[in-house]
Amino acid sequence: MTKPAVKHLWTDEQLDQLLGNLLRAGVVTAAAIVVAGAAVYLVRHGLQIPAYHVFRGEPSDLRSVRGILADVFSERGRGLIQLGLLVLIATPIARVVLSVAVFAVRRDGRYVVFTLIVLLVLVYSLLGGQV
Amino acid sequence: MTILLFSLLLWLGSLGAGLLGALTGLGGGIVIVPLLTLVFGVDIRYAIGASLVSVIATSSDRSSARGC
Repeated sequence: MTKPAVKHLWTDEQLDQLLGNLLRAGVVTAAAIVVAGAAVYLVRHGLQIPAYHVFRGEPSDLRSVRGILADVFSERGRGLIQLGLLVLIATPIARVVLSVAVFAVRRDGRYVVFTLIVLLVLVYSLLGGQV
Repeated sequence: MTILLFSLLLWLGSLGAGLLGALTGLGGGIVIVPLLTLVFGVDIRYAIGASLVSVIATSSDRSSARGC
């Protein structure tokens, strides 16, 4: 950030704008997928009585990415909703990945290291923290 | 109460929660959790999940609006 020689590659304003657009696109995409899934789910199950006062946990097919995709392709509402939530969770992670790339292009070594640490913590916790 | 009516009421509540959360900077969770558990009698674990999702959405949107 302090090197004026490479500043023409990516200014801070351009970076902010890029990351802002990415976040907005991710949230809007996730919202669209969830709304589509909710529409499918409500059409099929809208007239049932909810039993949300009992906690059941998610069914096993909604706990893995592969299971969720299988549910999406068989056009199940809950699979679509879950896919939308996955997109929503992936959005801030994509933002960090993109900032690593931009800082690398700007040859801003210190910020690349900082952002990589953030990315490492994110990925570690996403994998269940068991590594 | 059917799932349809439940979703509709919850949608209205979440709209208010998002507005209040964005205005105060607290995220929607502070409204959504009591709304789900105390008003609708939903299990607290579902409410916590809903609150986490709303935190991701509001914080992403806020930082995009402010230009991070």
